Amino acid sequence: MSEDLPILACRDMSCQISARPKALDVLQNIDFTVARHTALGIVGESGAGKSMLVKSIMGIAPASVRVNGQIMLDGQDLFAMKPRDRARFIGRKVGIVFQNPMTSLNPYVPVGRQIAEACRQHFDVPRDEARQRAIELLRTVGIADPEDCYDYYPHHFSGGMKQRIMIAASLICHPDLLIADEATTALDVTVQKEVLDLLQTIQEQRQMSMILVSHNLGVVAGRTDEILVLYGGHVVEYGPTSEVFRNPRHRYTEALLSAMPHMDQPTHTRLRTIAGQPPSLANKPAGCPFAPRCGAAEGPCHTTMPDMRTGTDSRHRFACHFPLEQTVGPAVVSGATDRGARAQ
Amino acid sequence: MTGLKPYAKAVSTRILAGIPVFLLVTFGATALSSLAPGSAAQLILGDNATAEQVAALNSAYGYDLPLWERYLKWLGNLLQGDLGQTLFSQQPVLDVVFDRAAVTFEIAFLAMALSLVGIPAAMYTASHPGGIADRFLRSLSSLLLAVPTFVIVVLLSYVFAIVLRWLPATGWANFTDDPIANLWYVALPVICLSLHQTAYLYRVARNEMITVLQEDFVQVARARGLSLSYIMLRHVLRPSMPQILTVMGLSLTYMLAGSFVVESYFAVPGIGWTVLTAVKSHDIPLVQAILSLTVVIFVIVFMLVDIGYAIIDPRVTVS
Repeated sequence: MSEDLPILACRDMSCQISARPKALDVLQNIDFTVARHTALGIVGESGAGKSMLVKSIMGIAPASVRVNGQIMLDGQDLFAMKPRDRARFIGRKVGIVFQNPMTSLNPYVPVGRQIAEACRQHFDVPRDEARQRAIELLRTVGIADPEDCYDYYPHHFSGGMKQRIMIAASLICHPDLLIADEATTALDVTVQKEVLDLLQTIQEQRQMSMILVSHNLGVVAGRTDEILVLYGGHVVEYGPTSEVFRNPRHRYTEALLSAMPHMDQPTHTRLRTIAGQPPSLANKPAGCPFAPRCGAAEGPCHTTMPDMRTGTDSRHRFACHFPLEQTVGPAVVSGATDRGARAQ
Repeated sequence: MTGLKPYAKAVSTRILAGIPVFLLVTFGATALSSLAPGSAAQLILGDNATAEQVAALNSAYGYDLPLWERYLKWLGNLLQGDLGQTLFSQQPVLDVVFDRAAVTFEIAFLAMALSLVGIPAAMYTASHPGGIADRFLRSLSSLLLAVPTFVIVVLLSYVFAIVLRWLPATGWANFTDDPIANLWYVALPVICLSLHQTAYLYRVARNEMITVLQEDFVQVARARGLSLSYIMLRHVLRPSMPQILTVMGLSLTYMLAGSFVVESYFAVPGIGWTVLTAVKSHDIPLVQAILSLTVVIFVIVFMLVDIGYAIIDPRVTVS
């Protein structure tokens, strides 16, 4: 496969839940690409459609959900494949780590086997070799005594350990893309950081691409090259992470960023919050989904969905009728959010 | 975690726990003969018996003794392996019970084995919900569960024994005497007994598997591109087994205690048929022995189910 071909490209993707009285749009006009060896952060609050996006890509959306548009994985059109071939192809190319390590592992199956089973199925790896690979991966993700742990059951491990095991399982087929769907949300804060660092190290060492899905901007900051902000099933802002953090153009992104506490804030100041609730699927606003909560919303915001615009940096795009002004020149200040800066 | 020691401990604790139940039920069985109006001998001999006959029988069998004394005597005899003679055929009760139990056990285990086809059927339909097979088997199992056993026996014996003449309607041959004839006679009772069990087992297994299929770890397995048959076998079957095992245990106790309808309809000399005749003829020693056996069966089956849970679920320990 050619190196400049993106590992994943979603084109005009949408998801609908067939329901009565009318179908519900969970995701609309989703367009993004994940280049090789890069990391994309997908951010949004609950109900924004993050999980549905991941499930649609993985082909495990519920039967009531219709996925439209085009998803290209490693240059192959997923919807052009037969379902069984598609599932196998995705299983080989993509590793996934889900939100809840407590329920992601089958309590009835030894963890080693759960790690090894995918490569046994997809590549007919002999039993002993699969076992060796799984033990090697357990070591990689930082499990002590991997040989013994292979035969242990999930209930012998703590939540953080289970998530490490899930990461090991996601790596067994040498995937090109690793998706972490809220992979650290269920873990406590210190373990969160360890697991995130582990994910990042693995992504860099194995030259994989990664999608980091989170409701927490702090999780994707410094760990991703690009960021995609979802709101009400729409991409509202999409661009290089450092650029979006420094120079948010969509008002939702800006509101999210200013809701984050900063080190230089005086103690005991109130954090800014966003008034109101995210739109419900059943009655989405006709125009911009953020309009009801937006301080700058005017006439067209309530009636017309804004088109994607491009900022000064051509990779930075946002969907807002009245975007924030560009305040900082592109890539002049070396922000703390820059991946390169962090790596130094 | 491994080895037989925890199992030995689990078995012994459960047997110990079963003893009070056993005493309670057997005491109840002894008391039953006193609950009936008149004396036991009066019941046995009927209305035309003279007072002398009644008194003679009462003292011969100890029915004139107080209840607790009679019960202790029975227990003492039980410990010596002697449960007395049946009142009418004057055979040793223990021999009769073991003979009849062998017949019932054979039918029960064969019916149980036959009903296991419900599990693969459930695996298939649970993984293809809403399909033709799913809808068909759902209707069929509802129908089988709705039709009472006494209708099923009549229908099946009419079809197979009278119209098609493939199988005998009644009769019996011991397995040790003639295995082929035994299977021939046992076929219809086994099928009739297993139909309900199969339908019930199928429904429970299907619903449980549908539930397990919603679990996160199944989503993970699907996202990893594992085949549906592999997921069903490796990730769904075993988590569904505790529920299935519970149903199997209940079915087995029900069938081992003897199915009155099936056994009496096909004139199968099993426990169910025997206890019916024993109750009708007030054969108290025989009724007592069968009730005791039933308690033992329940205790053992539930113990096996408990041990089964521990074998299936790595999180459960036996002791």
